Amino acid sequence: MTGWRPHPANPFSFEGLVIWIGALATIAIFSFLYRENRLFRFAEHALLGLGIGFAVAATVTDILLPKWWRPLTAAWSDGSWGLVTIQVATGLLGLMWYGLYHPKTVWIARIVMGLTIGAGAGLAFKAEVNDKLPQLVASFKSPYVPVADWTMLNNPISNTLFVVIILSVLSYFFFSVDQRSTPLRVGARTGRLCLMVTFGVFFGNTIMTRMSVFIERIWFLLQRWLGIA
Amino acid sequence: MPVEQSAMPWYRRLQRIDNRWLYLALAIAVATPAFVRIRPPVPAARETLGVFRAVEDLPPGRPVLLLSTWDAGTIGECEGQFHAVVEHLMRRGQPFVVWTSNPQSPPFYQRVITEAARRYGRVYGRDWADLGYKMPAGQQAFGVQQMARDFAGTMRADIRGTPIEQVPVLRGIRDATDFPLAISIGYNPALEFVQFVQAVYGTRVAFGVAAINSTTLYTYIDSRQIVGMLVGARGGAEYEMLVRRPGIGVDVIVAQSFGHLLIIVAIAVANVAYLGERRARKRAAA
Repeated sequence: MTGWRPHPANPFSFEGLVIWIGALATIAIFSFLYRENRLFRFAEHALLGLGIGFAVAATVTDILLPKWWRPLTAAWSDGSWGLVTIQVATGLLGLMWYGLYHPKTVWIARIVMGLTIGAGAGLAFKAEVNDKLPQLVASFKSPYVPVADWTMLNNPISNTLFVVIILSVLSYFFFSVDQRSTPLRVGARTGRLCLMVTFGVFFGNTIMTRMSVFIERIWFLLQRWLGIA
Repeated sequence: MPVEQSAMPWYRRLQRIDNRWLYLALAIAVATPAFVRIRPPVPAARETLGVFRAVEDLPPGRPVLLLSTWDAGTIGECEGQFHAVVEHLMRRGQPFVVWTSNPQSPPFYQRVITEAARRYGRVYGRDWADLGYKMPAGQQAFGVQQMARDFAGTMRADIRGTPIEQVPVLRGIRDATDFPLAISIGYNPALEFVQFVQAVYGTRVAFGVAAINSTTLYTYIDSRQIVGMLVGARGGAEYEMLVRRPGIGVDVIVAQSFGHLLIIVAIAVANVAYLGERRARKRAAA
């Protein structure tokens, strides 16, 4: 803690200049909280442009060059024509996406789109099985647990509560069944209450995330820019 | 103040407070801990302890796979998590390899690693390796699956252009079985680690995520698909306390407590105003 007296970052050093630009950009973005203004618009557009430009540059230098261009040129120099053919073919497949930009060449893009969708669907199937199957198995919990095996997650109260909640939430989604019978109606209502609690947790976590972003910026302004705290 | 507004009953005035006053109050509330040093106890939650214990149980010398996708927008939540995990790994002398699917992430995570490495005298290449930006986030499913099967063939070189085989910490790594633990830290969890690494190769997996994404991930702990999870700034703060090196995670969580107090007060005030209005309406009707 350096005290309450401000010691702003030196804008004439490289590091200080970066902090000043960051601070002014932060203030420009936060100025929207007061009202819509040109400074905010400028900062917003600059941020978007910089982000996209940076991503394009990184894709070229970190992915296209090391994974496609350099192996292609190396294979060409070595006379590895099989590898050259594979690299040229992958390059052509990539270029086929640009067929989207003209009505007469859309069919070219559809070929590579079909390939991607097919591969994606296959991968998603495997991913879903690996992802959800263990959770389905884990949802079968016994309300009876020997005292010696009691843990925070595995005990009669926790397991009974789990089973009640999972059944009631599932019963809420039985839209094709008439829910006038008392057990189904009570189950569905309990399920709806459980869902509301979950949405409340979601909302609380959302507030936490948004506030963390805000706090980091406020502390950046105070500590790194003004050198106050 | 216009005459009409001053003539308003108290409950209506409370319900029409200009939002900008609330923003200002929130800024003051979260800035307060910067001036008044407060260190409340931060007990570790079960999910945080899971990650800590997984690192503690690591066999010596085996590298950890660390995916870092946080950047400027998620510093508040993820820097604390990353700082604490790197601190723990460096202190134990546990080698690790970091990579990302977000091109904006490297400058942020490199700053944290460089600082910790300087403090513990760790050397690049021997104690850790940085592979940089390797694949777009949208292609992570294909990339992670390929990487898990053929690590050197997929990653090829580190961020300095050195082939994987020549980086000491990565020598001999063939597939995901060579990593006893994979940790992903970022706004979103790398579910591909569960789907294609843990499920297929048995590698243990832990997540550090933004609080907003944590709610649906608790089921993965219950099913033992992940060993633990760091939830937002809270997870970072708890882990920082476990490794006894409070940093940005603790700073944010203390400020957040002040912000939450303000929100609770605002909710209470709004409810009092609402009840006041309801009572006034009932009286008028009577």
